[in-house]
Amino acid sequence: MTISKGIKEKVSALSDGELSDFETRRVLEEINSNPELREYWKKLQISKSAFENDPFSFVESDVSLKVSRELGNILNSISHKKESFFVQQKNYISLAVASCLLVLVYNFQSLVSKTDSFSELASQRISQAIANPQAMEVLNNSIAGLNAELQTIQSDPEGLLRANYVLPSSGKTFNVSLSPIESSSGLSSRPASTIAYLKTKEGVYIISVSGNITAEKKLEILQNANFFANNLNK
Amino acid sequence: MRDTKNKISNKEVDLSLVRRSKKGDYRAFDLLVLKYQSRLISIAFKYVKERQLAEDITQEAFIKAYKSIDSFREESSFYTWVYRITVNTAKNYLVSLKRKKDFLMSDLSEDDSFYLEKLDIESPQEILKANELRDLIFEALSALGEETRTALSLREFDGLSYEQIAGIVNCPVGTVRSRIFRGREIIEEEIGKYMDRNSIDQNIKIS
Repeated sequence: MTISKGIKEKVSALSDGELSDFETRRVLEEINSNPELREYWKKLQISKSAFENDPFSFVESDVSLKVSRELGNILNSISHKKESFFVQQKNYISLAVASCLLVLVYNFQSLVSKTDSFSELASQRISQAIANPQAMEVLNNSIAGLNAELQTIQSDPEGLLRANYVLPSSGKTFNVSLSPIESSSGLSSRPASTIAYLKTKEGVYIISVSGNITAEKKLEILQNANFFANNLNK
Repeated sequence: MRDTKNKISNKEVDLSLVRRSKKGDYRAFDLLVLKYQSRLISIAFKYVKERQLAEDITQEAFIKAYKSIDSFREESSFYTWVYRITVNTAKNYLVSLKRKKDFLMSDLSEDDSFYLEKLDIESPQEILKANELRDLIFEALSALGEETRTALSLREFDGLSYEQIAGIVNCPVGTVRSRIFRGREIIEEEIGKYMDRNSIDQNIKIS
């Protein structure tokens, strides 16, 4: 990937704290999507360390991708050259989340005709899903450790299922939702870290977390769903 | 926007990235990881004396840092904060291996820990490589044209803002920005060559 001098110059200015908030946001996006710019940033820091007489050995070491992966930031849009491993992790999580959701689907399917589509199943059986202990267990486990309280569960005719929670300690609210992609046009523009895609024979579905909580907590919820799905499958 | 008339400290640059991280922008945290990883691996290495372990400890330290970024109160610099996390992670690792009694500096205060950073107890090979790279960067700097070198030196050594530099060299801020960038590009090229060469050397050793 070729990078323009203009954007590199902005990265250089960012390292000096010379960009406005708006420019910083734009440049962060560029760096995030361009491995050459990440490398440029890294080399900039090496030269700065040299000028500041800071210790700077181990310059060839790079733990950044591992840190990113460990933090569950595997669904972001970095198109890094070293991303093949990253992509595998992304698929792993997606499959795990898919497994979790399929457990829900199978619960729904046991109650209805096999000829119904998933969205029909979801919309028709929301009440059963809510009443189903295993479905509620999945929802509850996805928020494990957050000390959140379930406020309401909503559904719509297009198959969307949304559980609304509140964190009593801070009053912050958030929701976890599942919906067929055709009824989720607004979700596709959300940060990748708050959504996961589910592919089934019937179509693509989205599980998402949104609300007034940190990105870390949102990722934690998706990871909890992943972890719980694995346990269910054992 | 901040006041460009003041000197822009490294701490201030980091804090803007930290604040973005606190708002959930992982991309900003990623830049901090890229910025400090080598330094922290070097610190961890002083404790565990093994490169891979040092990398693992640094990785864990960054993960801990990101998870508790909301608790960073910005009273110290980000580096100081993540440095302490790295040191504690390394110490915990040693404790877990029942090697604590062999470790002479187990009760480091914050000041002590910075003293430790200056100690010359790194791998001799790493010291040689670091010195070679440092020399190369300074050679590249001294080979720059006068205008470029002046702008970059005022920024790097004196920590002046672009606006202050523009005032000193009597040219527009945009020109200062371009000159600094041009100088860095040349230095970056030298760093790239060094890293490629070093990577080839390592491959030869492995094969």
